[in-house]
Amino acid sequence: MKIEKKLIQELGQLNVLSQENNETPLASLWENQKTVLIFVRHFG
Amino acid sequence: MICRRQVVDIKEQMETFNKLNVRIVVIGNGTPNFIEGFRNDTGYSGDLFTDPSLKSYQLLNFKKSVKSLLGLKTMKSALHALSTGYMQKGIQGDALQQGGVVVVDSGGDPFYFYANTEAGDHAPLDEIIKACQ
Repeated sequence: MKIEKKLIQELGQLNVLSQENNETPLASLWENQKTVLIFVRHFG
Repeated sequence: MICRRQVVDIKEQMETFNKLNVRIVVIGNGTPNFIEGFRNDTGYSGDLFTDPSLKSYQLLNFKKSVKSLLGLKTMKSALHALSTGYMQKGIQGDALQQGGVVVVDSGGDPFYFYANTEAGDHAPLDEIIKACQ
């Protein structure tokens, strides 16, 4: 499966929440090093 | 629980990822107060965030359907999830939402993408590690 860089850029603008409920831009997670993002189905 | 298995597998390879200078980030879709329970259950102590809005899941076009949850390949594990997770613990996040894996470098270039097709389907760990080398 392939994914376009443009989609990664859009993804990077979205926010996720930390355990402390702080909004974190996704792009900030990978800005310093290669990163594996694992999207899990749910926390169940 | 079927969705936790991949996180446990990743956790066991954490040293490999550290050596490759690769950051591991797990993203769920429940409310933030479920994060601690998820940590306790998986033993995962690394980066963990959540997207209850599901916007990132939708952007990546991860599937969301009853059919994907109840695919024949994983009927057994799905039924197990129904009997243990939903009945006893309640749904922590969206039960019908599938996940996946994205590997991206610091320049925003994608190296790997995998969208789970049904419950119990995960990106092969060796493929993830290969994308990190």
